Amino acid sequence: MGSFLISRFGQGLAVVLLASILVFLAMRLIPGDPAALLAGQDATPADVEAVRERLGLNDPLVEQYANWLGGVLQGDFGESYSRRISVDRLIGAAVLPSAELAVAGYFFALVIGIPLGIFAGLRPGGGPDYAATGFTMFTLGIPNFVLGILLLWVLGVILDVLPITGRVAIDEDPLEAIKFLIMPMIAVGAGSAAVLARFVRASIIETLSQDFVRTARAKGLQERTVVLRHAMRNALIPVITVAALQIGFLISGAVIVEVVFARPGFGALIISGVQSRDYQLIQGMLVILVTVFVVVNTLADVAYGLVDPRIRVR
Amino acid sequence: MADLGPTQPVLQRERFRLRILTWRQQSQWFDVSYRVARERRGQIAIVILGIFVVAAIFADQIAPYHYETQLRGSRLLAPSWSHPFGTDEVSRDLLSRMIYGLRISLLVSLGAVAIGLPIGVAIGYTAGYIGRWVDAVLMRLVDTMLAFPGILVALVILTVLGTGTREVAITLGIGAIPIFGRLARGQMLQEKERDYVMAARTLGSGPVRIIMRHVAINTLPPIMIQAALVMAFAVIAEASLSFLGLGASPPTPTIGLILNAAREFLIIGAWWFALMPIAALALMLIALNFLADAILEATSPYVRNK
Repeated sequence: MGSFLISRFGQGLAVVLLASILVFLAMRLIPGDPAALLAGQDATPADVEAVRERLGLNDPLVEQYANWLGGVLQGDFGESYSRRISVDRLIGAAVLPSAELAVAGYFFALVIGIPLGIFAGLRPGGGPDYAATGFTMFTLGIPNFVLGILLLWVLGVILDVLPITGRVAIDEDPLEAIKFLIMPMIAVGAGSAAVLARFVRASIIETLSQDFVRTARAKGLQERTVVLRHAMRNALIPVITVAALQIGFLISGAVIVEVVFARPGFGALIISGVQSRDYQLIQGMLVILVTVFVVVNTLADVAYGLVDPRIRVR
Repeated sequence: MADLGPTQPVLQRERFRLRILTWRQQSQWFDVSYRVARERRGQIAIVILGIFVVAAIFADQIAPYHYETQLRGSRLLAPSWSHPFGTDEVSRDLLSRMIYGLRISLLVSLGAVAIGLPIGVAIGYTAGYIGRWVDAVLMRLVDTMLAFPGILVALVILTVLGTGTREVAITLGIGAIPIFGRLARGQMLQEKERDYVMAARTLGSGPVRIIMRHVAINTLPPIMIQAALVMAFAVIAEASLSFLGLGASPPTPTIGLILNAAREFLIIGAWWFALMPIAALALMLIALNFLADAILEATSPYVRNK
């Protein structure tokens, strides 16, 4: 078990490191001189040179990377070139709104997707199965931000039951905050809910056709016991991996959905960063997002190994 | 002469069927297309995509107006006979704009596959065939790119390239490389142990010939399925990115830009402005997904026999 843990975390760490190098190098490919941008339009070449020196842009690439990484590890992401304030402050302000949306969306995906998949898988061809298929088709044709617009139209305009845009902090007015959260939450989570439902359905159907289920039935167990104690436990193990993978798509989905509902957060920040080619900002945000994604997947792998000892051997 | 009666047409039909059979045996491409065209989902996909492709190619002839033409006094008109999809906030015909917009969607998604598929598959085959350190290095790179979920990798590349439609196509193409790479590598690992590869090698074929003439043909279906799914993803990503203002800039008509403009007019009841592009987008996405399903069903014996 120890070596399994070490190898999984080692792999995760390697991917995060490589990703940070990739982002760092990609950002150096951007044409234009950030120092000139930061120094302003009236700056003399000497001013620009001074800024370059201060930012360490004259150092060799390896040293620049090491310095940046060292800063990141201490929570210092450098200074945003377009906004001239520290990136960690910008990110700090955006983390909470985005995290609450991602968590709510994930909650929605799990609460809708898994039960739907279970009911669909227990009776293929039944009512819930049709509902699951219809839901899947719907999410295939309607991507998250489009679903956001549709929700805005139906719930916000026609029925007029939910506020359309903006956000209220959860510690200010919890009830109001939840109202603002409902539509973005559905828009972010629906796609993942459909993926989960489909996967759970397939997993349950497969498990129910296995020998041990037949044995359980043959020895006279009640159908309820067969399903809940024997089939379900085994069927839901592989779901861990799929559910963890969805977190990445939730994060990237939240970036767009936030813009649809004019919520503050990573979305607005990342887009202004791309538009102004603010690489200090972009590389900081992406390293955080990739780290979250990799950590979650590594944890899922480990959890998978914990519940299913066969995995550890490989 | 005896009356041949219906024999002649029957003979012709038989001859035609035989010809199709030979074509199917000669070309895997033709065989897969033939089977897809016989699946229900494949037929739906072919019809829908066919309409979109024809509309895209003949956009100049089909669209009632140019996409920039502003029609005096026709601001935000609901659908009618003269404007089947209504008009937008600056009095432009929405149907015309959508025909041009879907053309951009198709071009970007085709461009993404045209860039991502050959490069990704070449990398995957190379890694899978050579193995050892080449495989390890290439796959670490691929894994790293796959660590950026969804459109995040597109955001990195767009920061470097700058914004615009062409940039989006290139970006999505680069983003598709690891997807095709992973798939092709897995296929190669599976195929290179097969007897036919051994036979080809025994007969003196070099690696390039083995890959191009033998393995490539046998791994075609899964790669075609992935291509259809990558196209669907590219359509969504293009719409998302232009919605965010990172793709084409106005007045270029793209689905994303139209939706972005339409969002604020939903409040005053201009439903067609958003709903028409959403419907078109949904049709295109479902058609592409159906196409992928149909290829899978037509080519995988396991699924087919179920």
